[in-house]
Amino acid sequence: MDCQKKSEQMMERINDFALGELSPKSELELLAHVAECEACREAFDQAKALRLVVDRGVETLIEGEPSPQFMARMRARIAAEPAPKPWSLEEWRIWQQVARRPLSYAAGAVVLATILAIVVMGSPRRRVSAPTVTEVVPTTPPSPHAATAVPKATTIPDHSRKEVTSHSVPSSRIRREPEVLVPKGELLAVVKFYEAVHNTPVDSERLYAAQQEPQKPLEVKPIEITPLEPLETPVDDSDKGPGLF
Amino acid sequence: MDALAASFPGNAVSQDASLEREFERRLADCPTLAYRVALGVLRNSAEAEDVAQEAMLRAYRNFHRLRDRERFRAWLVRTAWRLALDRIRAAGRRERREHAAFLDGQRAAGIENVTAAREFERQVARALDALPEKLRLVMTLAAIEGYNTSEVAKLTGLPEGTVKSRLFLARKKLAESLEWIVKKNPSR
Repeated sequence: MDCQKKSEQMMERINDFALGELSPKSELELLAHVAECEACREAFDQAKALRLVVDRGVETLIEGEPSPQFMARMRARIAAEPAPKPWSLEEWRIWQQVARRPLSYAAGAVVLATILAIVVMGSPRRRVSAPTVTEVVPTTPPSPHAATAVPKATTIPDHSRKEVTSHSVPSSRIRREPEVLVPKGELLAVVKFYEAVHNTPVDSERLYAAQQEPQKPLEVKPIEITPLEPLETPVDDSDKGPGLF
Repeated sequence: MDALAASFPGNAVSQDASLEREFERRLADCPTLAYRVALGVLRNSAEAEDVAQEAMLRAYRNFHRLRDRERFRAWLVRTAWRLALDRIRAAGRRERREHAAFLDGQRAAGIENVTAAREFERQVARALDALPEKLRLVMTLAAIEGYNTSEVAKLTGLPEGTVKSRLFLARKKLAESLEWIVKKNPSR
């Protein structure tokens, strides 16, 4: 073989041989070649030595036998071991059945999982609860009568809530009611918007009537302006006073 | 009693005569394998024996649950390998292990040039420890099984092609680490 031309290919083969990758047929061809080719023989010998070092080295690390007492100690440990927990007949029966028809049981499991998924995902969607609207009213400064003052009559009688300042949109589906701040006078518009979005009729007349109940007018105290008292002695604004200079 | 109940393993290994016999039979040809696998990691004969016994004890406890008993050897190898690795990691004693390998007089006996052999062993151990775990397992098992890739494939549960490629990589890395030994001492 012309090693001048095929030296790279030959070196690859020699390396493969060193790493145990060469097929038996290729190994025979390589051996035949190195028997004739002086140039390749040296590389081959080195690769062979390397393989020997690697394989023999690892073998050296793991060679050896357990001591003669090993099995005796092993048996003593097994004898001291409590009996393993046995299978119950019922467990064994179930396991045997599953093991006999694994595909059937796997298919059953898939069907069950599908049904469960349909039940969970196909259940009626949670209704969007009607919002509780809270009217924004101008606040008045706290007065001593505040404690006894009647709360602003904006609650709907048959939909009593603890929050006295909030209006609840009547709906049989209400579960949880987020509060919505509605500017004064815009309640009807909000109700209509709610009806349009949720396609749910709202007793807007009652709600609106509740909002229209007479409210206590705002009490604005007139601002008292007390006139400034006249100065007893006029201020001398001339430059004749004591100055800094 | 129906056929199903007849196949019931009953009182597990210790009380079921046939299972016990089968376990005994499988146990008989496994101590060396478990010991060598553990030795490949621990490099200390006393510790390797300990781990091999622990692996076999676990095999005994769970033998009645093993469905494919033909895979007993593979099961034992994996158990021994993991136990040995756990022991090394838990103690963090790689250094001690390397040192212990050279104090293990039993294995050093018969070597003419003890110092050179120990030095060589130290280099190989270091190179083997530097391998990734997957490559190290395949290389160790290949050395135990006489570099029979189909046996290693059975023990690891890997395809033969994968074993071959891992073995190739492992040898390549080891060769890179140990090449200087060959150059220094071509007669080895």
